[in-house]
Amino acid sequence: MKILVLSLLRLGDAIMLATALRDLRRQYPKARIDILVNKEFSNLVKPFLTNVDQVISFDRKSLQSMIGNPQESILAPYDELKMLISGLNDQDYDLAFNLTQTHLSGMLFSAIKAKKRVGLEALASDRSQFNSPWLKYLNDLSEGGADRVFHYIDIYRYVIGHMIKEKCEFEETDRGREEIAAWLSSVGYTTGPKIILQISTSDEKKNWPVSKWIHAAKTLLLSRPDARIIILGAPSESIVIDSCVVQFKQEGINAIPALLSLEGAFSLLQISDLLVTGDTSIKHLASFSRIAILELALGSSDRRKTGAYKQDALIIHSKIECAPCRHSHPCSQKSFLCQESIDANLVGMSMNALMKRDWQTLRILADEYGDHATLERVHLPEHEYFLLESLRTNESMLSLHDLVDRSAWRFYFSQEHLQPLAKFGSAGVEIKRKIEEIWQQHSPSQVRLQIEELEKRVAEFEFNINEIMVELTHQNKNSSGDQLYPIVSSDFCERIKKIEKQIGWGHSLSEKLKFDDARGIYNHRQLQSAIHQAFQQNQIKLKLLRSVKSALMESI
Amino acid sequence: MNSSSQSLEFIETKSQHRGLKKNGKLVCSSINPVAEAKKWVNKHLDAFTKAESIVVLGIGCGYHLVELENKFEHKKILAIDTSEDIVAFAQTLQGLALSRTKLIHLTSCEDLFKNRIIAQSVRQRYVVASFGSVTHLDHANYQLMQDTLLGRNLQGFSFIIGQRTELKDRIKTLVPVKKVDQRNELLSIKDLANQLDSNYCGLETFIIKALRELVI
Repeated sequence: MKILVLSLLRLGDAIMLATALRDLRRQYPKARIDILVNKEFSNLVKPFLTNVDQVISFDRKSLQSMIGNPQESILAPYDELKMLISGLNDQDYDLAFNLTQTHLSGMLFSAIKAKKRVGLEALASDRSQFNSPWLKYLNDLSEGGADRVFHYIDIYRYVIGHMIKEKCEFEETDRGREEIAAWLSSVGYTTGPKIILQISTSDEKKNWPVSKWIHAAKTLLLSRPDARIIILGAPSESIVIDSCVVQFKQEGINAIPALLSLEGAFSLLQISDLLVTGDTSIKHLASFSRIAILELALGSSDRRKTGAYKQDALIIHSKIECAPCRHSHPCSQKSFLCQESIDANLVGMSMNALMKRDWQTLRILADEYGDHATLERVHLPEHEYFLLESLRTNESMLSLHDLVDRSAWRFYFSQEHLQPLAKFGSAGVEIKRKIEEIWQQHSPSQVRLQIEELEKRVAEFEFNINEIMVELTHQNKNSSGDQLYPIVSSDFCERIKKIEKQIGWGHSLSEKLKFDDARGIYNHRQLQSAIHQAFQQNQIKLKLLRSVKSALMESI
Repeated sequence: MNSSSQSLEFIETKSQHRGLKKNGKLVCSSINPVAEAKKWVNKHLDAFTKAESIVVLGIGCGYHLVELENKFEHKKILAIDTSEDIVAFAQTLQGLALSRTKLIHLTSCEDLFKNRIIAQSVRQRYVVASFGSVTHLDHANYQLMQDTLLGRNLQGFSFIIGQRTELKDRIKTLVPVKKVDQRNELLSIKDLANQLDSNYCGLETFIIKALRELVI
């Protein structure tokens, strides 16, 4: 058995695949598993993707340089890429996964031969197909602006389809251990909690100002004077890191720079107590280590999809409306409001509380700073999916809806709900167990009240969506003869707008429906399919909620 | 001796190698042409390593071709020069050292299309490298040959695609998307992608479309 996995995004994305690759290896212990990643990261991820037999490089930069170089033959990049594809096709893969949702990966995937292919592939006439409901979900809902979405790691795991309910951890490498031993002896200390600050990210929108980092560190040091502040960066970031160290020193903080390789950084994470980071590949690496994580989700960083995937990680994010913004779009504000709204005292005090696993203090902080920032605790109930619990008192059970929503999607995609003896009862018990794990501080009767409240909202959504379905059927009946596209009233668009975020499927869905050409017809069909899917998923949700309620009744 | 050969002047370089001037201009280094040749090969080493055949524009004294042969034992090498006398001189000077390199005399692109050896060379992974010490003597002609051999102009595009069996039926070579010569623009992978036969959907199509996605 030979398996190929495509991951052609950035370093963090490749690291996020580790759990899915572990699952894949368990499913096919004797298979040869290869992964195709961008060349610039292939050597970096290799030591951590131990379930992979071969990391194959996709040299995007070389191809781009050939394309842009008039001294190269017009066919030079073609020949180069064809050689890579031929090499892959010579392997005669039995199974291939494309876990990258880009046009490029879709085209490449179509050129790669495999007996079974899962993931985005391009077809003739610029059409494409996903071959997996989970990847279609990723495209339509996750990237389509839906407000309840799965974490990418969960989606990758569902695509692989063999979920192992165990934590996935990386092993330190000898090189990393040696590097960190040398670093420790050069900085000359061993005592006191080690606090790693990952100050620099790849995007200025995600960079919290250095002055705030200094302020936060000062706040922490007031209660933990023995704490050692380490500023972590790659060797290529030496100028930035050195400048940070100088600024910390000017404010009386003796911060230690740690310019390490990825392997060295992982070893440092293993021996340290807390990582405070923005949206970086180090954050993803830390998710597979022992260290506690405090993530500052700023700019385009969408914690729901790429947050620190680690039980009890703490994520602080801004309440500014435009956050998270769109990746690679410039900030729409005059200044980075999401960065400004995160108070340095809050971060400093949260660092101290998180080190002590003092969730009570963190809840108090969440209430106190709740007007501008949200503090969320990461849960991985039974290692099945990622869930964020708001630490603010009156928002704590908001993610109950996410919990039920996730179970409903799993039911829907596995088509379990279509079975004559669908296991709603046992699913209800499972959800109840997860609720008890996450909301230990809530009594069963409190939980039941929340369930009933949620049930009402889900039933209300069913009513709304039912009305829309009736209208859609009516529109279809009336659109015949010369009229190729259905007439969409502004009232109908308004109603769609209200449920847009719940059904996902692209931003400004209601606007898209106004096209009176082929796009309109296409969008209309897409809407029908999205509505139908949302209706079915919502029905499952209702049934699950009723099962949870009965399970709770039994325990009360 | 004809008029063009009268313009040739033989010299001895500082390194005591034989050199040549044409119309008073050097076609190799007057100090050390062998060192110049090594430097030239090293500059293009990556490209040469990847290619199966190497097309060199500018033969001159041929030291760079000897270096190329020595470095790449199994590659197909062909060298083009627009001066018949220079080709003859190189053959005399390097004849024994150049056992695998085909020396070709061409005066224009039209000759290039008729040459079977060149046609065969571009059927596989190839590289075109210009030896500046020679090509500066006839810059415009060599530049046109280079663009043509690289498939960056309309004639070259048709010629190159026509040599590839897997592509010639998939790419519409006769309907150019833009009048390149008028706009003085070189063809790119985008043009190649635009010329794809929309009825065909195979490996070549996906590779070219993937490359189009890489255009920044």
